[in-house]
Amino acid sequence: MPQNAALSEEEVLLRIQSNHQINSAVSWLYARYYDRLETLILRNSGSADDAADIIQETMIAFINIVQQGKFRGESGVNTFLQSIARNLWLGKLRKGKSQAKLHENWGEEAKQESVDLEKELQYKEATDLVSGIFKNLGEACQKLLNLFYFKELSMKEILPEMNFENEQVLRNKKTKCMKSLMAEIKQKPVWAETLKSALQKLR
Amino acid sequence: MENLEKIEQYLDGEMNQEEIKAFEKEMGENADLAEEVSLMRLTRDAIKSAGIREIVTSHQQEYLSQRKPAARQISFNTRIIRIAASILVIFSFWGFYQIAQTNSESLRADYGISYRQPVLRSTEAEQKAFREQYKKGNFGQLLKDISTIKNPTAEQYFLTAMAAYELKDFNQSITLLKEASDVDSREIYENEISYYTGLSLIGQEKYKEAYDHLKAVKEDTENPYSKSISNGFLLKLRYLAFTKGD
Repeated sequence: MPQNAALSEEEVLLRIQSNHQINSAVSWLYARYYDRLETLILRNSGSADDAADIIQETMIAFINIVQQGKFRGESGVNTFLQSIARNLWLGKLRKGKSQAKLHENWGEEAKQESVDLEKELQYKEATDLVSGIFKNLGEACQKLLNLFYFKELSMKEILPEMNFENEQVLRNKKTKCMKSLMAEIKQKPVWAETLKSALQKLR
Repeated sequence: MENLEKIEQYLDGEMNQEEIKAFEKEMGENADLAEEVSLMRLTRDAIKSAGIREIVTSHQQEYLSQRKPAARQISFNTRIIRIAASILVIFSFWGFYQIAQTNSESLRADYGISYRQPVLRSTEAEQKAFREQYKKGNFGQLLKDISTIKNPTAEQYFLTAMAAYELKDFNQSITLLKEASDVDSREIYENEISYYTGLSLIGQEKYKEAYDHLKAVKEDTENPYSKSISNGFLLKLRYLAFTKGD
């Protein structure tokens, strides 16, 4: 039995929200919900590979929503995950113009949750697009921006991790990395348009 | 792009109240700036999301790789069940084949017991001669001799019936067994008569009648022949009765 099996739902949500010990929280989510979500996809015309893709995106969306403080837990983690997976799977079926219909017994929808899932998933699509561009940056920029924006470390904390003279040089490097990332995004008119329309919808 | 540092300061919370107020006023008047801020916010979320994706992907791979042995275990169990089911099917077919191959001859040969004289019950010359003939297997002679005897005993009728049975003259064996039963006032041959009447009925291919008869013998626990009648034997007999339409 993994150690994290003893975690409560509240502890898991706290760990995700604080981004502290997030690995144990994600491990808990997988151990508890992967098989259930997979069964839902399989029962709704999906393959095991479809299920793996949808579950991965479901987990990413869920963690993002929790970290932004938008999940209040009114519906419970299980129901909320099912709702995300349902929306993602429906979207995939629509894109593939599949005639497959969702099984009636998909599970409860997280109706009581105040999160507008459709909007959240549209926003996720936009961030996925930018994440792809981010992955094309140089290794140093990726590391620096990851430590600063994802791990939320201060420049003082980042300095020993990277080979820079002082915090100011590091700060300048970060600005330079962001500039090149933004430039990269704007260089692709199609992406820029997609992002612009996603942002307009979200306003 | 020149606003980038300012936007970063705004999003990082590095502005004082006055600066925030002024910046937000500027955003309200400048749509391009507002869009820039939104795009920057989205870009920062995208960087966070890339970090989350890395963690989730690694957990998913780990989870699926750990789940494989369990899947193998399931398939191993399934294999065991399949093997067991195959054995069951093979045995079923084998059993069915055995039953389907059954006929009057094989059934009597496999399950019927030839009569062996146990003890001598009389010393009279005529009786003794009869027993000797049976012992020697002179079955035809016994069938001739029985008609020359004025009042045959139960033993003489019975031994002649067994002689007819050995010669596969089942009509004769049944007739003689009835005669034996009629004169067997002390019921010495009662058990033997029941059993061999059943076997003779099989010889006559009267399977339903034989089944009822031998089932009664099996159920009679005081009859020593009861133990020689197995359920398999009765099943085969029933199958023959069914195929014959009895």
